[in-house]
Amino acid sequence: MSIKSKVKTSKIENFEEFNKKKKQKSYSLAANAIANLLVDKKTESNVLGFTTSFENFTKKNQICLEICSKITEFSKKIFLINLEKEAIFSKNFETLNLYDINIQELADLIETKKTDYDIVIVNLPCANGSVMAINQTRTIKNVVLLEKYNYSKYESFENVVSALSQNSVKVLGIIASF
Amino acid sequence: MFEKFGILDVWAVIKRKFVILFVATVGCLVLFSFLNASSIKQSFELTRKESHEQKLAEVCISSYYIQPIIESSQLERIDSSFYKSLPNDLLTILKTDSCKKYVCDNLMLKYSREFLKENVLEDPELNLKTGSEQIFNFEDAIKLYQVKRQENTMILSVAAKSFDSGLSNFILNLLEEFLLKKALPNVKSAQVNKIGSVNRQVDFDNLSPEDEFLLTEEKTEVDKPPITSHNPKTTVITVVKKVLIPTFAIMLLVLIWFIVHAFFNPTFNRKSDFLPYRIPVIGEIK
Repeated sequence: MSIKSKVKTSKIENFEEFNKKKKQKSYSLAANAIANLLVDKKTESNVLGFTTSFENFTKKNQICLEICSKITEFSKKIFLINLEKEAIFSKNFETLNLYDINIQELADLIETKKTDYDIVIVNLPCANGSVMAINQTRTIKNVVLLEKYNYSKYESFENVVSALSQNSVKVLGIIASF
Repeated sequence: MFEKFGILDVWAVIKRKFVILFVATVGCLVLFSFLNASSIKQSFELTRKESHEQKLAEVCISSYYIQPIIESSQLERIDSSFYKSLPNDLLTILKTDSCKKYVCDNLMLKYSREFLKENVLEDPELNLKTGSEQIFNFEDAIKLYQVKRQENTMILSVAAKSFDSGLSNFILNLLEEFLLKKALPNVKSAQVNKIGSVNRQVDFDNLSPEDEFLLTEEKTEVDKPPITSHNPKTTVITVVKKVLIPTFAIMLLVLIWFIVHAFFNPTFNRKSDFLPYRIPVIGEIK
């Protein structure tokens, strides 16, 4: 390998490394913010839902997984209930994949888990136009919206926020993805 | 109206649809290049005589017998080979710059620049100048006529060539005039007897061996009439007109469509877009 190509390869590697670190840092900051939100007494609960108004948000599960992993680094015991179709698995914390669960069963599950764990996170499907998703959020009370820049529409977002507020669900914050 | 959609959102649309725009641009370029391949190919070829593709050249040829004038008293003193060189002397005089100038000046008196441009066999893009300056270059003027000495004879053939028979005849008359009034008085020891004239049509792209003398003697690439020559400017103009402009027009329409669509379906593009809803943005994932 010539010196030029070696330098080029190392520059690319450095750039990739830099990007990776940047991404990890953004996950850490988001996880820290969520942890602080739940510690705050105003939430009155250690259960948090992740939902979105963007229907085809393919990276939502990955974001949820990464944030949960980062939260565990703060020495918090996490339990993740995944209600999306795509299953999530992690070595760092316990997960449960329950696609198409009954609302009562979900409520019962949350009740049992919230006492055993520091934080219970529920990965909900897209709340835009989904009555099931809105109903599921009613059991959770506090949600964080995961949105994507250049894709999440105003109209959809407003519909979701409006539906959530009508169901007495509090939107604690927004995590926006590029 | 523009609360939710501004100039930065246009850029956001372009970034989002960049791959589609890129693929569509490449596709359009390929498609239009394919559709206009023949005209682009043609633009590579510029026929030198495209206005005369089917036109035959009008050639007027006169033959002259150069009879030496031998005085009996000089016969013993002068070598006979001297007389044999007389046709060469006249031939050379007819090829001099003064002969070319004589022909050029008289042509410009009788004919218009446009007519000469159209009917001279040489490249129609000759640089014709007005006023007292010379109209033709000497090198170009020589191509109006050809002079040849028939081998081992005292016969000179003078051929005038153009795309107009009247013009060719006129050139021939000028040459004859020059030969008799200017060249011959200087040579002195000769008499020029006209044998005859003939008018013919000649296809310079398919010259017969006996007509090859009608070509310029110094055969260079410039003298030989090339069938094609590459004109980069024409090719660039063709490519721009037939490929780039249609591609650009289509891509512009596509982009306008994307922007209009985005205008009526605005999206969140930055952190500040969430401000009106009073919900804090607690994190941004890069």
